Amino acid sequence: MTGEALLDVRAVSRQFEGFWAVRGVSFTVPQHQIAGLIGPNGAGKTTLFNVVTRYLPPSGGEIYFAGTRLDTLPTYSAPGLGLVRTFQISRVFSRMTVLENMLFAAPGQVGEGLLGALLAPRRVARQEKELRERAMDLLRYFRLDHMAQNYAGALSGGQRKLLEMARALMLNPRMLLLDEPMAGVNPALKEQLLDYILDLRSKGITFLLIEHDIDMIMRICDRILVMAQGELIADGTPDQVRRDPRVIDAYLGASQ
Amino acid sequence: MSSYLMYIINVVTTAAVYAVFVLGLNLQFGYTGIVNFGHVAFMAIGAYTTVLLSLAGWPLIAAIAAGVLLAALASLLIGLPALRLREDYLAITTIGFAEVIRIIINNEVELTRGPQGIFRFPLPFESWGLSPLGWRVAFMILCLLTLAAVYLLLQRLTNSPWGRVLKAIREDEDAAIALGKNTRVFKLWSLALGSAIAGLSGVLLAYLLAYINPREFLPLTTFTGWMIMVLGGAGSNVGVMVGSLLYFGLFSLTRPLESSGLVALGLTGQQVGALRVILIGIFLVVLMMYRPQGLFGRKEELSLDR
Amino acid sequence: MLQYVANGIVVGAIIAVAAIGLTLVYSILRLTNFAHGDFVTLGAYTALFINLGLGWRPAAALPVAFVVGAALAILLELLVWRKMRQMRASMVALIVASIGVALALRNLLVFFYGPSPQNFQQPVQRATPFLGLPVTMTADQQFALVASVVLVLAVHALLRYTTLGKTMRALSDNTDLAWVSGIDVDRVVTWTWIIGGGLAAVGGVLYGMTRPLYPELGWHLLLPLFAAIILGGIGHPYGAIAGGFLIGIVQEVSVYFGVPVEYKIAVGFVAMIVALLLFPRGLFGEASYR
Repeated sequence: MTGEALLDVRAVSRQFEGFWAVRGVSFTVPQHQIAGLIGPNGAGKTTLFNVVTRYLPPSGGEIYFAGTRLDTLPTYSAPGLGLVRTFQISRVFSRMTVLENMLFAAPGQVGEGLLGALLAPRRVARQEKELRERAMDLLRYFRLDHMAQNYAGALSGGQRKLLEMARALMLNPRMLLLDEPMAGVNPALKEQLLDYILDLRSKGITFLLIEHDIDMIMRICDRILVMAQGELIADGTPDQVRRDPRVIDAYLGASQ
Repeated sequence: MSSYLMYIINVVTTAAVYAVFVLGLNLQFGYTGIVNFGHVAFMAIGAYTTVLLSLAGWPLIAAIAAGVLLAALASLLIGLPALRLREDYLAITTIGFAEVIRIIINNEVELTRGPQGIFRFPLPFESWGLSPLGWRVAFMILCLLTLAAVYLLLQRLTNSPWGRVLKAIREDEDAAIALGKNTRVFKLWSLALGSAIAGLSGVLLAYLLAYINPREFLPLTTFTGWMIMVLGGAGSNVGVMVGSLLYFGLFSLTRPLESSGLVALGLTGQQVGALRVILIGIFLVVLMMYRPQGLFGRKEELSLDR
Repeated sequence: MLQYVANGIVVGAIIAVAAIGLTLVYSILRLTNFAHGDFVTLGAYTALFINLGLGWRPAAALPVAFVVGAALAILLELLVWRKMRQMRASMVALIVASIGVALALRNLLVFFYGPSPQNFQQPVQRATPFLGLPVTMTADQQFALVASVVLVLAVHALLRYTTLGKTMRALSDNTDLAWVSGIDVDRVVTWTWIIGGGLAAVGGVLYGMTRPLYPELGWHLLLPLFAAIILGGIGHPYGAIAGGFLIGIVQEVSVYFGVPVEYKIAVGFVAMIVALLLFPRGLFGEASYR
């Protein structure tokens, strides 16, 4: 593998009223890897995602990111450590402009404190200027710069996905967790998203993504995790996973 | 002539006081999405605290500061447990909170004089020896200056990165958390600041009326505030001020005509009052049905529609 | 103490009757109806109108109140709620509109009857022992209790054994599912309003038999009503019934423990807050946190 473990998930479980949505799942994701999480519907992928990002508290187990224990911290602290997620259905701030969406995401803003906002207008203005430049660079990278002043609510579905990713990059993340980035996206944009993910990986970002599009996942992932009925049933390279009889069983079983 | 002037002064002053009140509500709902249906409670706390402390001999400025502060603290009392609630539960909880505050004021007679109210208390400019008209003018200017100060403060805050976080919370709190913001703290500040502003408006209202009693702080006042806010379009501070002027202009200026006309038709004053509230109610329904974004709000900024 | 519990059961039974409609409307129509309390008031004043005008006993006005409440509810559905649902109005817009309805309705009563409290015109009743228990109730209280229990049982039978009732329960459990599954939604919505508006008005008549009438009667009952349905888990009719009794008893018994009578409403409200904090899903179900 390409580096030390960045994300370390240890025996994580999540129970809903007696039903184990996720049960005893352990894996690590090393730096610079693109890991894919697949599994039939109801396998517990999104629940696992939500537990890892602290949107749901785990019923058991521990989660470490870059050596810091995550599951005892509040939800909002993971992004600050460099672990940022997106949502299955893109969640942009509709009644804010695209640029405002970007600026919002930047961490450590002086003007986010009441005192800073009131008493340090020059420092705030200077910081805003820097952030705006960075945001515009990212928007250009994602070819959204011409939309910067539009309301995010006016973007197309594909553009929202790009904005969500661009916004996440404002945090200088070390790792991105993408929940079905290809869902509902046209083929041309899929290729584009693929290129973005590969390019960002080459810039040092680690990925874990949930995906239904098996073709896509086989093409870009270095490593694939397979879940079924809440448990991790396979973990290996795309070729290993493709030949794993348990994986074939899980998919066939689920389609019956 | 002078009675007509007095009337205009009264309308402008009342509109200014309510504009301050609704600016606080607008910070909470229009910018942050916090559904506060108990706003009048903080107005009441500001008014009663200031009046009672100045009766106890506190200097006016100190009494006002205490009233504003206490309103903010009271909002944290309800906000800490309730801000995590979904909007409908929050609506019920805040209304309930405001009713409990009013019941307490109504019943703790030893402290607040209860339903009788308080009639004589220290007013600003008392030592200046102004004529009644002069006092009205001075007080109107005070209210307008207060409004301007609150407006400028809010403009600065809502256009800052701090305000940007509030708007993001209004749009999608989960997404804001996913980008690393501690939204709970921002919501508590928004609630507290909005309630402090309501407290300040309560102080002004007490001075405007020159008496206070629990009946001034019925839920209807909160609902009127909501109406003014949605009139101008929630999320716009200018809209709030225009909405307030429009509301009091329209309703107050037609009042003499309306009452004399209707009383001539054989209606009692009480019935005319009831009729006005019926109209307010119908207007709220129609507004929500046809223009939930307010009279001046833009479609893409629909504040009451997500 | 027992006497307070008995009073609480009477109030609780009335709250339960009125709360069923509130919770059904909430769960089936996604409407937090702040005008529900004013349907209670309307029912009480309908009985007053008949009592003063025709000299009937208030109990005889029950069916009329039901019809009036149901008719007004359907009228509002046709004039307001249907359109607002079609335009996908937000939860807050719906709340504001329902407050508008509440203000209009309440002041309509003020317009005709004035703001001061009124009583039904009937002979003064003496409280007598109830069912041989060491508690006393007036005949009206006894009637209100029995009628409430009968109504609750009737609703139970409706929800449990009729197709309509089963559909309503399905809709209130899972709105999304049922809205797309070919159920005649308009019919269910109409019946929801008939039951909701009608029972609220009937609850108002019963409530009016136990205390003086005034225009804010129902508004002041609304908070205990919400407390009841939140305690019971919003959207669960049986939870609302249980919550109703609980709130009624807690309110009355608090007086026994030295809480001033004026703070009764506050007691119900505090009970609700505590319940929200301890049981965020109500005692039975749905999540109240986002």
